[in-house]
Amino acid sequence: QVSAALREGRVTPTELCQRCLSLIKSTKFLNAYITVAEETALKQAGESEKRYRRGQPLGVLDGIPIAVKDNFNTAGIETTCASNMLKGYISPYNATVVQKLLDQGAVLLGKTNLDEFAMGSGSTDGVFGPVRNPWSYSRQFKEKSVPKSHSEDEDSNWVITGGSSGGSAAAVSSFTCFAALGSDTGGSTRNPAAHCGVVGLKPTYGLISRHGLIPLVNSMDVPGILTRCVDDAAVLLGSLAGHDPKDSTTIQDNFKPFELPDLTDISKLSIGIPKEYHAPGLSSEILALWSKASDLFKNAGAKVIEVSLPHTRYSIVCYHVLCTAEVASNMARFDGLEYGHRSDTNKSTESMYAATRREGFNDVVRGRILSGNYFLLKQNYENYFVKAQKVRRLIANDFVKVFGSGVDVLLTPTTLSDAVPYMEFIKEDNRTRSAQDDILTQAANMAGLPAVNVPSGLSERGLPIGLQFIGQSFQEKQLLTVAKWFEKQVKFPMIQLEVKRHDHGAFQHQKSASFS
Amino acid sequence: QKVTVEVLDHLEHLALVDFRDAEGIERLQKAIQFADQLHEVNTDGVEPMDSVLEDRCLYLREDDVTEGNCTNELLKNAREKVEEYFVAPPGNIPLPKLEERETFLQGS
Repeated sequence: QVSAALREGRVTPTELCQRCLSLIKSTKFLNAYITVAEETALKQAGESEKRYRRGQPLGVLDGIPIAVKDNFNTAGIETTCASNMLKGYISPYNATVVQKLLDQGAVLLGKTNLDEFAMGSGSTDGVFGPVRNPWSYSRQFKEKSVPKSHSEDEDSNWVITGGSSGGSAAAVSSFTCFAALGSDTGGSTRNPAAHCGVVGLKPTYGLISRHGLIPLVNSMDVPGILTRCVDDAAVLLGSLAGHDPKDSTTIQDNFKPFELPDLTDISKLSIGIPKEYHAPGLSSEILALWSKASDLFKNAGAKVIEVSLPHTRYSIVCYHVLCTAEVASNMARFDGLEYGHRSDTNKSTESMYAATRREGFNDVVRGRILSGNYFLLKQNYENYFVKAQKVRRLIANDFVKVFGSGVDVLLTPTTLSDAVPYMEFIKEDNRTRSAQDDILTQAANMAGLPAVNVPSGLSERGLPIGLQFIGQSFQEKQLLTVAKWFEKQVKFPMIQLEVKRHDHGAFQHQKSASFS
Repeated sequence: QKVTVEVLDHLEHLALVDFRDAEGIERLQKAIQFADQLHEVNTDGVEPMDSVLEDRCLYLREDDVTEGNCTNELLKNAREKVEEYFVAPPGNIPLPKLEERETFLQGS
C-alpha cells in the first residue's frame, strides 16, 4: 500500500523516513535499535525522492524504510552483534542481502538489537540490554492486565519479544519500519515474529545468501524476513533470493520472484499435522488455536491429516551439539588482531587472545564455545558430534517421508506459549530457555526447510500467538500462498500502540500497515 | 561422571576462553548431560549429514582475481598496526600452565 502511495506522490520518501525516525525516537524505550543511521537514511530517502519525481523508481522497495539485525555487515555503519567483542566495529562492506535491498532503493533506518551473537530466544542477553515487546504497551494487553497498585512501577511487567531477532520483530511490529531482516538458526526469526504478532519467514537453506551475515552455525543459518503481512514477505523474498557467487552454499538454480495468487480451490491442498508438535508444555490456548486452524482448512475442503515426525524430540539435543560445535569454530576468528575488541595484554599471542575473548564475550557465548570444544574433543567426536550428525539425517528423513506421502505443507504452533514477562524469563538461564523455546522451530533448520510464522490470534492476556507453516525445500511460493490464504481467514488485529510522543502528548497510533 | 580438571584446563587452552566461575563449569556439566540424550537414538547404518545440500554438487569458478586492493579498509578496524601489517604480540609462547595462570580452575 505504501509503495503505491509513494508512486502516486501521496507521500514522499523523505516524509516517510522522517516519520519513521520520529517514531523510533518515541519508542526508544523498546530498545529495538542499537544504531539509528539517521543521516544516511535521510540521504537515501532524498535520492529515492529524486527518482520518484523523475518517474523512475527502482522497484516496489524504492524509498521503503527497513531495519537490519545487527549481525549483518553494513558498510560504514557499526555492526556489533550486541557484543563487547565488536563494539566500535565499522563494517567495510555490505552483506549481500543488505546490498540487494539498497540497490532496490530501500532506506536503511538502522541496526536492530538481538541476543549477543544471536544466541538466545529472548533478545535479552545482548550488551545493549533487552528488547521490549511493543505489545506490552498495547491497549489489548493493558486491558487484560490485572491493575497494579499505583506505587508499583507500571513498567515492570513488560514482556519479552522472543529472539534472537527481537529488535527486528519489535521494529516491524511498532511500525518504525516496513520490513526488517533477521537471521534464523533455530527459530530466531519465527520465535520473535510469533511473540510480536508479525510475519516471520525462514527461507530454504541455500536460497538467500549468507555473505556478510556473521555466522553462528554455517550449516543452518539463513537470513530471515520480518514483515507485517505475507505479501510483503514475498516481495522481500523476491529481491533477496538467488545465487550469490560470494556464498558457495547458495544454489545455482534460477530464482524467479513471484506474486502470491489468491487461493480459491483449497480442496487440492493436503495439510499435515505432526502429532509430536503437541509438545509438553504447549499452552492450552495455543493448542486450541492450532486445532481451530486445522478445522478451518478442513471446512474449506482441504485434506487435513495427522502425520508423524518421530525424531522431533531429539531435534533440540541434536541442535545443541551441532550448534555449539560450529560456534566453537566460528567464534575462533575473534582474536582482537584484525578487528573488534583487543585486550591490552601483550605478553604473548595466546594470552592476548585469551584476555580479549574473556573481555569480549558474555557467559552465553563463552559457555557455548566451551561446550562445543568439549564435543569436538577426540575422545568425544564420534559419540557426540558425529552422532548428532546422524540424528540430523534421521530428522531430515522424517520430513522427506511425510512430504513424500503427499502432504503439501505442515501446520504447527510456533511457540509453546505467548510472550512471558521479562522478570519471569530471566529466572531460567539462556540454555534452558533456548532448549524450551526452540523446540517447535528448530527441526526446520535441521532439515533446511522453509517455514513461516503467521500471527493467528491473541491470547487471554492480549498478546499475539502465531502458527507455523513448514514447506518443502525451495517451495516458498506454495508455502506463502497457503500462509496468505490463512492470514486472510484469520484477520489478525492491528496492534493499538499507546505511545507518548516526545512532545508530551499521548496518542494512539495506526498507520498503513503494509507496503505492497 | 564429572568432567575432570585436566579436561577443563585442556578446554580453556583449546578455546582460549575461561570458565570464570563455578556456574561456568556447572553449565558445561548440564550441557553434557543434555547432550547424552542423543545416545537413546538408534543410528545404526545411518550416515552423518554434513549439509542439507548434499545432493547437489559443489561448483567451481574460474581462478580469476575479481576483488581486492582494499588494504586501507581492512586495516581501519585493527587496533595495532604498522604500515600494512597487523601487529601481534610474540607467538610460540603457550598459555601458562594451570598452576601459573589466573584461572578459576586453580582452586578445583
